[in-house]
This record gives sequence, structure tokens and C-alpha cells, in this order.
Amino acid sequence: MKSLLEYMGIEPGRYQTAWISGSEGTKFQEVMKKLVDDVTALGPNRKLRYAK
Amino acid sequence: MKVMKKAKVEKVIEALAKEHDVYVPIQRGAQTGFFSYRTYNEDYDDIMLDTLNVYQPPKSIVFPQTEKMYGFKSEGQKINIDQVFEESEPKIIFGLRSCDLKAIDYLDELFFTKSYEDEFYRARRKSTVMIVNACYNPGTSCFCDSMGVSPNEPENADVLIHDIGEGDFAWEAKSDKGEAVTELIKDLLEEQEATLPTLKNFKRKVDYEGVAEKLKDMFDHPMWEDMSYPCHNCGICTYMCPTCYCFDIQVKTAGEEGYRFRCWDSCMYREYSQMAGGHNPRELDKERFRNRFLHKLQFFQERYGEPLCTGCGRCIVVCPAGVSIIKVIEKVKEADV
Amino acid sequence: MREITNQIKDIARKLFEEKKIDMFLAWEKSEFDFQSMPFFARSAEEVEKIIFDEFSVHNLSNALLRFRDGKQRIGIVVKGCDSRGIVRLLEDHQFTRDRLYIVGVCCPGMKDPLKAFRNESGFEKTANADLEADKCNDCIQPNPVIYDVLLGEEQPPRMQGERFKKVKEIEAMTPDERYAFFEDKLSTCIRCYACRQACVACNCRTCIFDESRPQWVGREANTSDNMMYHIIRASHMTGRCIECGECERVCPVHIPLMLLNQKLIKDVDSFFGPFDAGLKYEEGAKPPLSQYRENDPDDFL
Repeated sequence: MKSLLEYMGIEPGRYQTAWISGSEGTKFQEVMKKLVDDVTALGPNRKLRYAK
Repeated sequence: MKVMKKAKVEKVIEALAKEHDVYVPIQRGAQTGFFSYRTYNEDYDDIMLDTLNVYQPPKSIVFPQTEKMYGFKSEGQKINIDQVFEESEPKIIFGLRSCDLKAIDYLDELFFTKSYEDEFYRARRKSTVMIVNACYNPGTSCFCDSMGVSPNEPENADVLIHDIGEGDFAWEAKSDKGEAVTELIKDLLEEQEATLPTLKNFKRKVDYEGVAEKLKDMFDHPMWEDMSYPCHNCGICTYMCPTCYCFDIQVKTAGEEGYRFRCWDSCMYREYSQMAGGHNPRELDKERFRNRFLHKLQFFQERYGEPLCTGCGRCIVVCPAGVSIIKVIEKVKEADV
Repeated sequence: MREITNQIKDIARKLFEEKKIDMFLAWEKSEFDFQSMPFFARSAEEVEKIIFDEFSVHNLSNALLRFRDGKQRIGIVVKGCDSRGIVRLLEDHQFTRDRLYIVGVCCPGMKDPLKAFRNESGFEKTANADLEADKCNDCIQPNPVIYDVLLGEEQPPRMQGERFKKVKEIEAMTPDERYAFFEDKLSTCIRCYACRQACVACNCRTCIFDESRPQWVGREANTSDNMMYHIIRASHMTGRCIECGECERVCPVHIPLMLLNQKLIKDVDSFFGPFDAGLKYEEGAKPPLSQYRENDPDDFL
């Protein structure tokens, strides 16, 4: 999925996957923080949106 | 007779495009269809007035595949409709064929008669001028005359143009709307003698006489199952058809705002007849296949007095499995009831 | 080809006479020479209509889905690519092997009836000089991989040069170029779902695109909904696409769907491989996406 989205032109980093167990609270926090930082850096997504 | 010389064709379209959105038959890459002249790009596009027809029929100009109806906003408990999208920009369909014009006549019947008038369709339709390219060379898949369409003398054309050879076209205004657009380009037309070509013979004939009547007793005929086996139940035939008009009304929302739109739907899809309670009256492929032909050949005939097929032959050409409406009609004729 | 047609007829006739099958799937001629269409013979008499020629391009394994809930025993003619479709159906438990009698034909490459009809139709300016089905140019498996009887001489793969060449060309572009490329191609989609219907890997009983509660993908034929449709369709093909190329062949607006499918074939091969869907049938074997391994890469998800 990640690979397909990137192939279709979505910037790498906008879609991320990670395995996090229910007991790994710290990991969840780290992953989410990284995701937010990465996506903020990329700016708003204009792709796959409808603009005629 | 007024004549539009080959060298002037593009000038005529350009002149018309000043006040109208002109749709022209164009080959764009591998696709052919009626595209707005505003999107015309010399490098990729090729205007097709000399070929038989284009794949994508002009129905989408008066009845788009997706059409916004109205927008709304909710404030607390209240919902306000804040926008109604009616599209009435003046449009010209330049160079459509008789079969496709007839198809639009059927859409008119549908949207304007039987006590309901559809305002979205009316806005588009009333602002559209039809410049019909008379057809003298029926193609391999054409059978419009069998379905009661005249390829070279269509009714209801605003302007009728005839290919008189060498890329020149004779130009005849046929209605008030037609006179008005002719006025816009009169300096580009020349007065000269012209002989109209003669209509070539049709390679395909089909006898539709009595089919609607006979179909009444054929709902459970085994031929439907046999004929539906190759069919994939995709929607190519319905979406490429110049007459198929089924649509669905849906809504899209984002936060407090949203809009309602309608989009083409196809009787070939299972979802089309899916009911809210979970029941589907046309669950089987065979039933959906049968419905398409019954609608075209029987139901529309019963309600409006004409079949919902103009013999353009598109569905026969594009069907991935080789299903042909001509064969269906022939099978109905042959069938024992 | 005529010889193969006769052999197929003999086999089918015999099967009907011995009451080993209830139906036989092959092709028949329609009105034009180039118009071969799927044919479902149900008796020894109907067998006479069967043909196999250079226009027998359709993947008949897809038609088996129509009969998956029945009890009919079915004879079917398959080419190399179609036979991979049968392997997929068996792996997905959509059909049982004992209901099938498979007549394999080594395929010399097919011509495309749609191309031929387009040439004749007058709906296009340019005629295709060559009627060869485009999908056959990327063929890696012209010979059936599963069969009860094999006809014809074994053929070499027709794919020339490097595999996934076009996919690699796209991978070399920048993200924005790639997006522009796919946006351009996919925005023309008319959502006729022919790609889904013609596909043997699309064997879900209720398709996600037909769901209305919730409605996963909007029904508007605009760039956004079209792209969502194609991303989802393609990702559902992961590890299941058998490269028969029917989706691309039937597309009325010529969307290069195999560019998406081949990307996923390439990825599955590199993430979990070596693997190509439906190349070999082993009872009980599971394709990569049907099993879990601890070292499966996250990025694939």
C-alpha cells in the first residue's frame, strides 16, 4: 500500500505503518509524534483531492 | 446554398466559441468524444468531422456523468440550502450525428414530459444548440434506420451540415436557434451551388417491428439465460450508450457543509437495484442483463412510443464479450413463445 | 488453429457423451470474422459451434465464478494466462478441481477483437495496423500450468527484454511527475467497472465499491474518486493478479491498468518472493498475502 501510494505520486512519509502493541505506550507516542512532524513538514495534501 | 469551406471550419468554431462553449468531436490520444473547444490543444487533438462518429456520446453535455444539484450548510438543528447549481451557459454541440440527436430527443421526452420537468436538465438543454452533421456513410455497426432514425434528415436539428466532399460542408439553419448562430458566423460562409451526397446502403438491418409486443410474454424465456452468459455485467454498454439515462442521487459532506449530486448509474450493477432492507429484486446477472434489453425494447416503447435505442452501434463495438443488441432483437423475433 | 479446434470439439463431444461434464466453456464465432466470443456449450450438439482461433483472447476462467455455487461439472479451454486464473480460483477455494476438466492450449499469442472492431467502426481516426493483443507482449507464461489434456506445441514466452521495464521508468520519475501521470490517465475513467468484472482475481461476493453502508468510495466520476477507486482496486489485486491483462484490454478509455498491477507484482516478488501468482498449483499451498511471517516487511501494508 505504502509502496503503491508512493508509486502513484504521494510523497514518501505521508502514509506510514507501524506495529505497536497495546502495552507499548511510549512507542505509540514516539511514532505519532514522528508522523505529525513528517506530515507537517510536507504541508497540506492537495493530491487525491477533487479540484476541477 | 451556404457552404462552410474546409479552410474555414476552425474559424467557424472559433467564432462560435466566443459566446458559446462549443463541443467538438475530437480524437484525443486514444480517446474520442465531444470535448469542449476550450480544452482543444493542437498538439494532441484532432477534430473528427470526417469520421463516422466518436465513442463517447454527447449526452454528457446535457446530462453530465456527475452533476452537482445543490449545496447546503447546517447550523445547529437547521439546514440551509445555500447554492443551487444550475448550468445554463450557452453551449453548442458541433457535428453530432442523427443517432445522437435522436438520443437527446429521448432524454427530452424523459425529463420534460409525463408531468415532471427536470430543472437541471432544462437549464442545460435549453441553452444548447445542436449542429448536426448529416450522415451519408453508415458504418459496420450502424442500424439507425432500422430503429426509426433518419441519418441524413434528422428532425429537431438547429443547424444541419452536410459533407459535400473536399472537407467542405453545406450549412442549413433549421430553427430559430440555428438562425441565430448562423448570424454569428455569416461572414465565414460562402454562397455556392452544392449537391448533397446520396445516402449509402446500410450494411446492417434489423427488424424491430412487433418486438415490444412480443417481449411482453418473454420475461421468463430461457434465451435470457443463454444470452447473458458471456456478459460480464460491466457498465460499458450503458455508459457508452447515447440514450441510457439512469442516475442515482447521492450526497457528499465535509464537516457542516455538503452538496447533493447526481451521477449516472447502470442497471448492470448489483447495487443499482439493491434496496435499503437488503432485498435485491435483480440479484442474478441474467436478471440485470434482461432488464437492460427490456427497458430499451419494451418498457420505453410502452411509455413513450419509441424504443430507447437509436442504432448508433456503440455498445456492439465496445462490448468486451461481443454481446450485440442486434442479435438480441433477432433472437426475440425467432423465439417461440 | 483449425486442428486445435477439431481436437477441442472431439474432446468436448466425448465428455458430453460419457456424461462427464454438464457444460463446456470455449468460444464461438459471432457476426464478424474477428469476433470470437465466449461460448457455453451444454450438449454434444452445441459442441459443433465451438471454435478456437487467433481471436480467442478472453480469459474464460473468470466465467467460472458464475457457476461457483453450483454443482455442474465444467469443461474449459484455457491458454497459459487463463490457466493461472484457474490456479488462483482453486487456491482461493472458489472452485474445486474435481468439478473441472481442463483443456490446456499452448498459446501462440492472440489478436484482440476489440482492436479489430475499433478499426472497422469509424469511431477513431487512426487504425491499428497490428491486431496483436497488447497484453500478449508481456506474456511470461504462454503454456498452461494446470490441465487434464494439453494441445498444441509448447511456445516460448513472448515478453522481450527486461520485465517491469515500464514500471521502472515510472519509478524513476519524481513523486509529482508520477502523480501527474496517473492523474491524467485515471481522470478519464468512466467507472464502468469493466476492469473489475473482467478480472478473475476479483472474486469477492460483495465488492467494496458496491457497498453503500458505509460507502467506502464516492460515486462521482471525478479525479479524486476515480483515483481512490483505482488505488483500492489495484491494492486488492496484490499477489492475486495473474497478468492476463483483461482489465486493460476491456477498458473503453484505455487506462494502462497493468502499470499498477505490474508494480504490485514486482513488489510482492521483491518483498515476499520469489513469487508470481498462479504459476504452480500445489494443494494446500498459500500465496504470500494469505499467510503471516514474523519477518514480513511493514512497508508493504
